[in-house]
Amino acid sequence: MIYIDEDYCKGCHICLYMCYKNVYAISKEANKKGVQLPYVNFEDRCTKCGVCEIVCPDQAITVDIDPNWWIENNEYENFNPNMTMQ
Amino acid sequence: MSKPNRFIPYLREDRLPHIFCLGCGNGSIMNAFLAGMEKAEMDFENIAMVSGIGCSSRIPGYVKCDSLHSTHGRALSFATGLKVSNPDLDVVVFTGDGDCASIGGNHLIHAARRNINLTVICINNNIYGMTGGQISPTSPKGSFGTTAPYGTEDNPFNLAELVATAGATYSARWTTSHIENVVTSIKTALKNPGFSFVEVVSQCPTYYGRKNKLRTPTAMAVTLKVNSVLKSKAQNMSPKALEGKIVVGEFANKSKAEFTDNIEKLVQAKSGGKKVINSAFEAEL
Amino acid sequence: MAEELFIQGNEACAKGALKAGCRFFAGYPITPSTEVAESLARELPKVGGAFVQMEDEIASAGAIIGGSWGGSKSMTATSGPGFSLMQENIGYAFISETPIVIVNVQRGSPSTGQPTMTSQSDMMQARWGSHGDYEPIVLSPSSVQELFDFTIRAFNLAEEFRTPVFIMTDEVIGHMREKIIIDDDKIEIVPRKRPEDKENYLPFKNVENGTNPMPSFGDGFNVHVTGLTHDERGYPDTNNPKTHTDFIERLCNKIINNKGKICSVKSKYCDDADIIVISYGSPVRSVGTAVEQAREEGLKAGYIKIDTPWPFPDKEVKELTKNTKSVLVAEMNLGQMFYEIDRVVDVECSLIGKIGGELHKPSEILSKIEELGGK
Repeated sequence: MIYIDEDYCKGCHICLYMCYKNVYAISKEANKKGVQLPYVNFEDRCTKCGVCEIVCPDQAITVDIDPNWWIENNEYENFNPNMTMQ
Repeated sequence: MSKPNRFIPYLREDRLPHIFCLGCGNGSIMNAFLAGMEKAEMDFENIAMVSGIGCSSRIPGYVKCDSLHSTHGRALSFATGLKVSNPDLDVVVFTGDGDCASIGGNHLIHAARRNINLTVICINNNIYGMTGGQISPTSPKGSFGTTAPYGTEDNPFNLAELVATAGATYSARWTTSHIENVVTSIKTALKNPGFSFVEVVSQCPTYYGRKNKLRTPTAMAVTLKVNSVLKSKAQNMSPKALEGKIVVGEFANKSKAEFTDNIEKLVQAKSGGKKVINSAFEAEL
Repeated sequence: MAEELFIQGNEACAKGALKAGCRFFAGYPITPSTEVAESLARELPKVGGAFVQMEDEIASAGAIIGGSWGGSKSMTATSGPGFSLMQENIGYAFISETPIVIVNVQRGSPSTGQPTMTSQSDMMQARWGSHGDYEPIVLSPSSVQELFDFTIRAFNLAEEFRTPVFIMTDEVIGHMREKIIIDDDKIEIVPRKRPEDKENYLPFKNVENGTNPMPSFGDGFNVHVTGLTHDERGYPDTNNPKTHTDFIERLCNKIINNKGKICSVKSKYCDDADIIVISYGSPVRSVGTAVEQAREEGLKAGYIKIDTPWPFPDKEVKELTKNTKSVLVAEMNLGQMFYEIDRVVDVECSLIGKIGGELHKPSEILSKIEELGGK
């Protein structure tokens, strides 16, 4: 899951540029602070690399990473040391 | 929200959100430092931060550790005193281009010459942000600022090379668009027992961007990315081709005797004991 | 056990610093103060301390502030030009309430001036040198023994009030060799007070006596030290007039309200004197001789020696000069403390200022006493 904190986001959209998989999109309408918040458009594309989390200057993005997210259905043969989805 | 942001526990939450402008790179670099610190498995309790004056120097005020927000340009001299006084601390210095290359240039090269075990993170946004967009010693030739309305003709400093030449044992330059490299370099810098310098070329959309036709944070981030050239590639490029480019990579990574170690050795040779720490609290010595 | 030594003033200063618990010195060579740095470079490693020769005086002042927050009693020594460079960081030490000791062995000035000659021309710089309102503590010794004693006192005052303390000595005292007595039993040392309550500790709280206990970095108190106007947590609060007023008033009042503890003057023959000579630092030596000679001539002269030019001991000086007819101020400048003394005393005040790098001759002061004493 990716969470975006509305209170902290100032709407710089660096996350849009930095995301390698183009997960984010900009909402059409501004919120009450006048910020066009980014939203998660394609969550399935997310590789949980964490770049957006670090690059967000306002500590507004949280990528909820399960530490064993690559292990599906306890099938240990799927263990992937390169930490990629494929 | 089910899970708090991973960096908030390290920050003084009562001071957030911070004063940085929309799209400013300082917040990203603060996160990158905390991520690098986690990767280096540093003890957060043992970290002390020192900074000078400027936008980037406000960062230590947001991190929940002992922090010294000192005078303009003098962060490295304060940090030298702090580190020598208590060598057990991991001293991290946050500084900007005006702070460390202009007013504090002398302290920068001397700290590098001593090879004192400090980690210096220099956020180079090519402009004086706090005072409203004047050109700095790292502003690229031809760039505009409020004090260079017709474009600056001055030659900029190459900080990472300067510090490497002055004797630092670790020196690297990246941009905010290379955030993973920044994290890795900060990790290496924190672990390096000696003077470590990480220059991060950062965006200042409010002043540098507005003066140089790069109004949005993303436009600035794109420019940083497309203008940067890896050091290995830059070696084979002509000076003309390198004009206006940002050479990124590691400029020094070596080992050398460290300053506080030398003091410790001298103390052991002359007194037969260890260097005293926190002696101000003792009534008798 | 008392120890007798025949040493130079600057060496006595270094010895005093070591006795007071100074374990960090950062400095830059400058005549006539260099011997302080040289002695401490030799002696500090022997007691587990550290000496660093910095790249300039700005860095020296910065380093000792860092050193002080690192948990060591810290000091630097300099002369006029270096003292000018340190001013910005001195202001920082005031606003961040950092205990440091700065020794200024004064020389002929302005600018490079007379590096090997004596002067007292930095007295007003010590008071007002850095920008802003602040109350410095300045000690002015007039013998090698006093330079030793005052150095220890300077560290004690710095720790007690969490403030920078200056020792404004001069080339004559710094380079003079005299006998001093070091009696360990009589030396009192004030250690730094560490706060106890980690949860509720406020490093810049508006406490009654003005001075909060101070942790060192690494103690786990997570203090934020800044040169911006800050609230009691140490967080910047620069746009609130009340915060700034309360804060700066507290910093000044912690010195002003404790003047009784800080100020010290010495005097002789003041009870029946018609003319009182006021001086501080090395001119005291000539003044003492001149006043004795005047008494032998039958003139009713007396003298006051000010140990602490700042904060100015106005109560003491006013009290001592209340019955006199005139006051003469002897100092090695064209009038600096003179104006402060003139402000405080009720009778007519005149100045015998001397620049050029020589001490007043007792005969010069004597003839001025004779002139003013109506002879």
